[in-house]
Amino acid sequence: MSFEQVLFIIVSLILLASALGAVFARRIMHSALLAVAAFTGVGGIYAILGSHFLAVAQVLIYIGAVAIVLLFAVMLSQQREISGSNPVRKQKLWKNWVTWAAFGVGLVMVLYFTVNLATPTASQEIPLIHTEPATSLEGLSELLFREYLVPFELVSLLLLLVVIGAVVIARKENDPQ
Amino acid sequence: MVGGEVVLSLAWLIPVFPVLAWLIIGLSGRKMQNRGSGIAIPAVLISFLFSLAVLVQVAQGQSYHTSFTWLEWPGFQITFGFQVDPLAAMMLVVVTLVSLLVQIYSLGYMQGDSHYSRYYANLSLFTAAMLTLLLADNYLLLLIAWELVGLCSYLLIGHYFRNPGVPQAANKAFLTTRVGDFGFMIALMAIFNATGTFNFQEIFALAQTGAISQGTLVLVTAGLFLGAAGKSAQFPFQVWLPDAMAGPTPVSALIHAATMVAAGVYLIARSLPLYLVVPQVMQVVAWVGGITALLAAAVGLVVNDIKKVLAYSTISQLGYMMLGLGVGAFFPGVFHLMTHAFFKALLFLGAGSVIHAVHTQDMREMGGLGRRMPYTTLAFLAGSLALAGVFPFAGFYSKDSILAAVYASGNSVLFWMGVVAAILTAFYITRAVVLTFWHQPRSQGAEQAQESSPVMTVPLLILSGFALAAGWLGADFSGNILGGFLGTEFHLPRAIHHYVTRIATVAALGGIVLAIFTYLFRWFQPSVLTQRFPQCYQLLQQAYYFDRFYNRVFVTGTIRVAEFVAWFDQTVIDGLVNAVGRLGKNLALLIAKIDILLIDGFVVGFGHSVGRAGDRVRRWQNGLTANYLLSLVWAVLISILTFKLLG
Amino acid sequence: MIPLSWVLALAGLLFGIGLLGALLSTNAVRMLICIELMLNAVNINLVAFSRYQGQAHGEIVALFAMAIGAAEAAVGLAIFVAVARNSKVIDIDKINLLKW
Repeated sequence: MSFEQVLFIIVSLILLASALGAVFARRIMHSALLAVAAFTGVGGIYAILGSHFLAVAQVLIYIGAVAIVLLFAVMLSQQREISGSNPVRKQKLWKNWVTWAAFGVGLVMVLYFTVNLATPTASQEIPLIHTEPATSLEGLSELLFREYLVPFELVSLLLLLVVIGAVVIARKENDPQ
Repeated sequence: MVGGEVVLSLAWLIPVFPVLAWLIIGLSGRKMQNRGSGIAIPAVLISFLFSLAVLVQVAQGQSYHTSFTWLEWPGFQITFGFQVDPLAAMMLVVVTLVSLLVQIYSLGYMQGDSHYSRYYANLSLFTAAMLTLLLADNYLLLLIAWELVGLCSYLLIGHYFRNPGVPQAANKAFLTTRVGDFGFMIALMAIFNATGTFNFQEIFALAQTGAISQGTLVLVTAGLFLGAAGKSAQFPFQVWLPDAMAGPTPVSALIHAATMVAAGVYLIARSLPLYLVVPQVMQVVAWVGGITALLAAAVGLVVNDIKKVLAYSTISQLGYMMLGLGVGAFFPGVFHLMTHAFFKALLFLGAGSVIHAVHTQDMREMGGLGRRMPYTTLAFLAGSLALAGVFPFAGFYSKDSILAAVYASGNSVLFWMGVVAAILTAFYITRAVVLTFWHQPRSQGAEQAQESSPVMTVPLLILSGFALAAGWLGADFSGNILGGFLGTEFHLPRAIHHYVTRIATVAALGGIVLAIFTYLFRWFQPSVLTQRFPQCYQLLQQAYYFDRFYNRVFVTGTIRVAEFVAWFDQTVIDGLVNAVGRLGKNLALLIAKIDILLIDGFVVGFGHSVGRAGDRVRRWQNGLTANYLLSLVWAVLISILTFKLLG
Repeated sequence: MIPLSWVLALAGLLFGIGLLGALLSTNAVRMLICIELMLNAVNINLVAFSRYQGQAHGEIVALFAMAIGAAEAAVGLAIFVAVARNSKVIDIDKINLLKW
């Protein structure tokens, strides 16, 4: 087991733990903070895998923007706390066999595929990700501004719209600003 | 001689005159009023004279027979015709004479009756029918005349139909004889089936050659006897005759004494060639006759209505005739038939005279009439002596011959039954005589009684003459003219004949004497006996409860059956029909309903089911986001699985 | 040299956790967090395959996904804030005006 693998395992464990915590935390604030930790973990994964740019982008976008917005929303919606919202819906859905069946099936599938991939067959070796060499920034930008130019422009338009829209939605009614 | 031939060939006219009389009187309706007798009596007179002429011809050895075809179809032929032979000729004279005398008598008796002409019309029709019966040469024509005679009996019994009980009596007579007629018709069918003809001569010829099977002959003779028993009021059909006394007395005299009831005897006498081949049936005839004679005579002892006494007497005497025929004695039976016609008609007309004068039929209210109605008394006495069988009156000879024949046949039981019946006959008729004519009047009606007018008494006296002399025609001392005339042989050893005669005379005189002691001298009181043996007395009074039995069994039974059938028809059949109707209607409604249900249901149901399905489906959108998400998850999973599995 | 399967397993688990949370939680914000988690898991997948192949296409797509996800989170949170002004507590089950 190489250093990278160990590192990978550690980071993924932290990630998963944070994710679990984010889901099952009693208070939203904790949940949001743990989400931040999860995002960080994901960024770490990207870095280990060799997508350095994406790792940085992850931190910038998610932790720098999404998490902030999350926290703002949490704070705005909790101005008067009333016995906290139940973390987990105590409803049929939790006891519902359909839900757990779905999970069961999904789990089986995931395990099957991963195990499939993890077992070496006669014809090929198990797939490995080569963490070195890392993705070059030049190559990325080449791709982005050449082949994916149109999507790039569209996404920027989308972002613009989203900003405007969010402002419109979130502002107060009687405020004609 | 030529004239004779003509007379005989026209013999069929004899019934025609009374028929014409009937038609004329009948069609004239109300216009006739009291003139009906003026038409009827001359008609009968002509018939009588004609019959005498015929008799003269037949006595000279002539006989006549003619027939014509009535119905014809392939293989079969029914002929009608008439025959004039000694038996028929004798009966023709008897019937027309008695009818004539009765009609003359009725001039007085029925005077003032509101339906005078109808009476004469019916009498004429009856006479015509009876004469046709006598002249018939085949069973079918005889049956037709037979039925016609029965009809006239019904009409005449029911003459006073507004009186209570009269219509029922007429019905009873008709229906009871009808039952017997059923047997007659069965016999006819059997005969025709076996021989293909109804003609007497042909049938007798076939019977004698043995061409008809024994079984058929038994059936035929039994059937004919059933008819005769019905008509002649033998047991068990005797119930109608006493009730028939509800008709006018002259009717009783003519029909129920002399002629119609004699038709049964006549039928048996005519058919004797058939009976001679089936001795077992003859035994039955003899026994029925004997039993009837005895039992009916016994009833005559206790009845108080003078006409009913004579009715039971008639039944009894007819029994004697059947008894005679039953032992194969053609001559005695027919002989007694002739003498009985005269003296019984006499007795009835005499009783009618009494009733006409006293205005009652109950002998307990009579008495002392001997002084007041001498001619009637004389006539009645003559008839009584004839009936009792006292020498030298007519009944003596005829009854005597019957008893002798029975004795000679070897059946001692029957013989002594006849003897006892003779005793009883003498007794009851003497009783009637004494009660009616002797002692003091027991009612005002009897006190004020007067002798009837000559128009009634003259026929009485004429008949008295016959009651006395008629028997002499068949007596031995006169060489048995009648027997020779009829062409029968009747010889018995002198010893037997004397023996029987002595016994018969003792019986008759004994009965008379006993009655005289009881009723005239009043040495015995009948009430002693009636009190000692009340059931016996009741039994006789009620005529062996035949009426009650028949009523309960047949009349009530028929009514019950009719009620049941009516109920059945109404409840079951109508119910069934109604049910079917209802079924049809309900079926139609049901189909309509199904139609509506089905078709509309289909269409509407379709819409509804779509609505309901949509209703169920829309509940998916419960507003729960998590649910939507779950659905998504599932959809993805299933798609992946499907694609993976399908490769 | 990290086995591909490990990364895929990680992504799958992360996705599952996120999904679980999305299904079971009533709070809108928590739900959004879970959705973000799911998005991240998908991105990990994309990057893994991209790095495995040596091509950068997957990374580009992941980048776009990140951007859009952020945008969507912003809008969603804007909505939730608007709703939360009235009730203060955002129960996802109560936002059901579009239900039948």
